[in-house]
Amino acid sequence: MKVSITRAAQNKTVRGVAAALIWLLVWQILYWIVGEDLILSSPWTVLVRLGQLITTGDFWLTVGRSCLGILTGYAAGVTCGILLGVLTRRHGFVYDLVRIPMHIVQATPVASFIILTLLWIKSRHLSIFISFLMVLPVIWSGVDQGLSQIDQGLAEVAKVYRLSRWQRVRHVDLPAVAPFLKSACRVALGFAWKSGIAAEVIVTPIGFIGKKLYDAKVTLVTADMFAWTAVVILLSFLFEKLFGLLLDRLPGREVRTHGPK
Amino acid sequence: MDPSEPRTSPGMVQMMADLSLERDRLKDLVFDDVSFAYTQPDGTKRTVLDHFSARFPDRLLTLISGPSGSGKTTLFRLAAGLIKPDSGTITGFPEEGAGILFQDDRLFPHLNVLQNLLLCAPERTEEELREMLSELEIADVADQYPDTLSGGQSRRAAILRAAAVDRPLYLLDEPFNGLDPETRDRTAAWLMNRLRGRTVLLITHVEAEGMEGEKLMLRTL
Repeated sequence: MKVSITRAAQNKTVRGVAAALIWLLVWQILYWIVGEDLILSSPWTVLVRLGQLITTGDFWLTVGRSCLGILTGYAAGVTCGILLGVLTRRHGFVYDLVRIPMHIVQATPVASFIILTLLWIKSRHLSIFISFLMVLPVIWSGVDQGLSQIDQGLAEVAKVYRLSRWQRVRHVDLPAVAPFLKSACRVALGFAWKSGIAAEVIVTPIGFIGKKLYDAKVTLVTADMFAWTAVVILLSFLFEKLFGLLLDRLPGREVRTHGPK
Repeated sequence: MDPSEPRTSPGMVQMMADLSLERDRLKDLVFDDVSFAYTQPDGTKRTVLDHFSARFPDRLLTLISGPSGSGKTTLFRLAAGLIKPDSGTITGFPEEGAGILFQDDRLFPHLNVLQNLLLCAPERTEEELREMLSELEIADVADQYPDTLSGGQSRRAAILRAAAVDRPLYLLDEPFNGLDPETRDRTAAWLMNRLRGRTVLLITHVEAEGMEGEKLMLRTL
């Protein structure tokens, strides 16, 4: 059993690496076809530029500032989304009240919010707010959906056996909400990155990734543009994996990994 | 006889006996003129219990039977306080709560059998619970999760959860569902022995050996 699981994992890794190599090859072929560095940099040029960037202190400061902003917005969005989800599930009127602005946020293009909120919020803080705004409805909706799926039979067991409030949350509410919350957290993380970087590109706060991307574009340093885009993708991937590990530790019916002894 | 000792007349003895009986009767679970109707999906009401009165005597087993739809489970849910009657009163539910077995097992799926038992019967030690599991012939599933149990094992784990708690009242809805006749009789004997001297309402459509008590037959309205 263990052998087959290890082999399946190895196969998955090999397939993943092979797929990545194929896309790199496609990129290289496109570069050969275009034949113009100003329009499309080659994978090698981008890799070399990335290597140069990561050796500078400014690179890490820039990455740190952007990560801090976006992840702060993400954490605030997750926290408020959970609280709001619990609140709206308990009080029908609050649900009706919250539902409308949540749908508006989800339906409005992120650029509109960025331009609008720029009037009220300093440019260096904008990515926090935009990430927060994009994450909030996703988490709220996930928690609300999860709470609607609570096993009423187990809720009755908790009641008749007089489990404490915490025990009820731990053994009845959380297992029902966890799958929805995990899925919402994963989706929201992607939203946070995309919207946060978009906000930085539009308002160009000094010392953030968005500003670097914008500068690369206006100065036509295509390799820099690709290198910073690669940084955003790598960071998004890295945080997705890190959060994935954290989320898998949440209790939930579908994540139980202990098999019968 | 010491003259200072209070004298008790035969009438007083009778009165004290009546008071004692009355005090005991206060522990009976009493349904007094209870009515209950479910609201059906189309909005109409379906009466299940209509001005129903019954006294379930303290420290005795009452076997409740009746055809499907006669209100057995409604009676169980009313007794457990999970639903409220439309009219009438239910008195005598102990403050300490009751040991309750639902018609379905309702084990927490993310906890193993032993963890399920410890969660609902924290007054029991792990050793006590393992011993009880052994008495019910399911000691080997203590560390297994509910989705890996057979129907009979899961049912016995649920029975054990209800019986493991120390309460004056036990409400058991079809406890022997899914058990083969031999296991059913052994489980019933274990259960009756364990709950002797407690008030037990046992809803069942089958009778196992050794189950003797008051009988209440419900009929469909």
